[in-house]
Amino acid sequence: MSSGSSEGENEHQKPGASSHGHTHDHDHPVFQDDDDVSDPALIRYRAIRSLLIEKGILSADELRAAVERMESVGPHVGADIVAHAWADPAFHSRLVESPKSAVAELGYHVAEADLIIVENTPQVHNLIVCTLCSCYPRSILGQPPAWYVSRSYRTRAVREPRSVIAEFGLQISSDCEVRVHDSNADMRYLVLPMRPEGTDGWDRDRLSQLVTRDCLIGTAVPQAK
Amino acid sequence: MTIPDDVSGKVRKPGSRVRIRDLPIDGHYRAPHYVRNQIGRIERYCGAFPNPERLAYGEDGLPAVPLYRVRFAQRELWPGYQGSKHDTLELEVYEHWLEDCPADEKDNKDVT
Amino acid sequence: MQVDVLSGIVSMLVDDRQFLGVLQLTRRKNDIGGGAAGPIDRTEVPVKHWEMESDALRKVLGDGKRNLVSLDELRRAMEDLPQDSYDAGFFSRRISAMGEILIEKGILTREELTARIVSLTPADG
Repeated sequence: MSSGSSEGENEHQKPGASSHGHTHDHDHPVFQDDDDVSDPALIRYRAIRSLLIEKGILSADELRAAVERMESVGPHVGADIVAHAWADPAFHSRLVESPKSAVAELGYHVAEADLIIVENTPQVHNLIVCTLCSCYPRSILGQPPAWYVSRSYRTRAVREPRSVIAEFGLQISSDCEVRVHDSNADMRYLVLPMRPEGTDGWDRDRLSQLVTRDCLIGTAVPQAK
Repeated sequence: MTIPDDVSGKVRKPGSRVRIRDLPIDGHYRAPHYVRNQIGRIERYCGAFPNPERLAYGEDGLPAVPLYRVRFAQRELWPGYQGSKHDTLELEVYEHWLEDCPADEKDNKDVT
Repeated sequence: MQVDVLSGIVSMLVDDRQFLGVLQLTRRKNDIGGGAAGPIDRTEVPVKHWEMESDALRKVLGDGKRNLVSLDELRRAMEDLPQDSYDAGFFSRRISAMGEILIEKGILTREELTARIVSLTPADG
């Protein structure tokens, strides 16, 4: 399992960041290396974007600012939240009791209606899915992985969570309850995994390295290397 | 969490039994078919939110609808469920999808 | 709508035999939890720049200043797409749905959107 650290962070050249630092509202088509110019969805996107800018509905700068805000979050934010909870029992309590304000203490803003922390214990393993669409705590974790929004995951995670988890290489013992959370409405969910043994005395930064994106969804658990 | 005046006092209590209704909604809904007609227990009250099934059509979704987390036993949801009898599933259900479920009906014994 | 209902039924029958005989006419094409499906493709797919930007566009259109495309409207419009458009991929169905809402609200006309798509389509494509 690859860690989530490469996902959504600095992988994309920021539009307008390279060639011109001046501010202006006219539209620059930004051709990225990863753009397939014959992709019908990309063409539809460009068509909508250019028409909206011409009509003055929004500006290219507003769009750019929104992208930059989105690119500042990612799985590293979730890992930081978990590491704080592991290292600080008082923060852990606040996080479980009122997640939004606890997360705000660390400088992160949960834009969705509310966040619920689901805590793994020796008795309960939590797994997050959205069967109806693709709900995910994007305001802190960024874009979900492709498998999370796939038809197979959305279809199967509710009915056969143990075999789904097993496909990710994780076995949950039969005396541990598997609790599936179908994130189907206004709440968003973050798994708080168990701190691995053998990590006594580790600082927060080192602890956060153990927490991959999939640990925050429930298809993996942190392993002390 | 603040409870709006119009629903305070009527909020369902954690642990109470509910059945998910099978409303013949023609259009957008937030109650997946796999929980329709199933019995679960309230896990928590989440607050009241504008009805997403009306917001989806550009309306204001008011008055706000109470939203709950409901917990189900997996082996009750899925015939032949392959997993532990302790496994559970939770999802969010808006009040208009819920009805009281008398205790003498088929129980979800492992759900507390 | 008729076509959607029929394709929804067909995909249910294909998805899961337990639904045979229980035709749920109001079941939407996105309501897939609990059916049968194959192995999960766990390939890491980096989000492309335009995909990220299209999500940003939805956010800007839905902000307090514009209030034009809410997430709830976007979900509904995705579910209303023809099955092949819905299945065309996550960001593809989102941008298709966004276009439909903007047309519905009179921000864009279908004619100008179609014309712009034609003008942006590479000649060889």
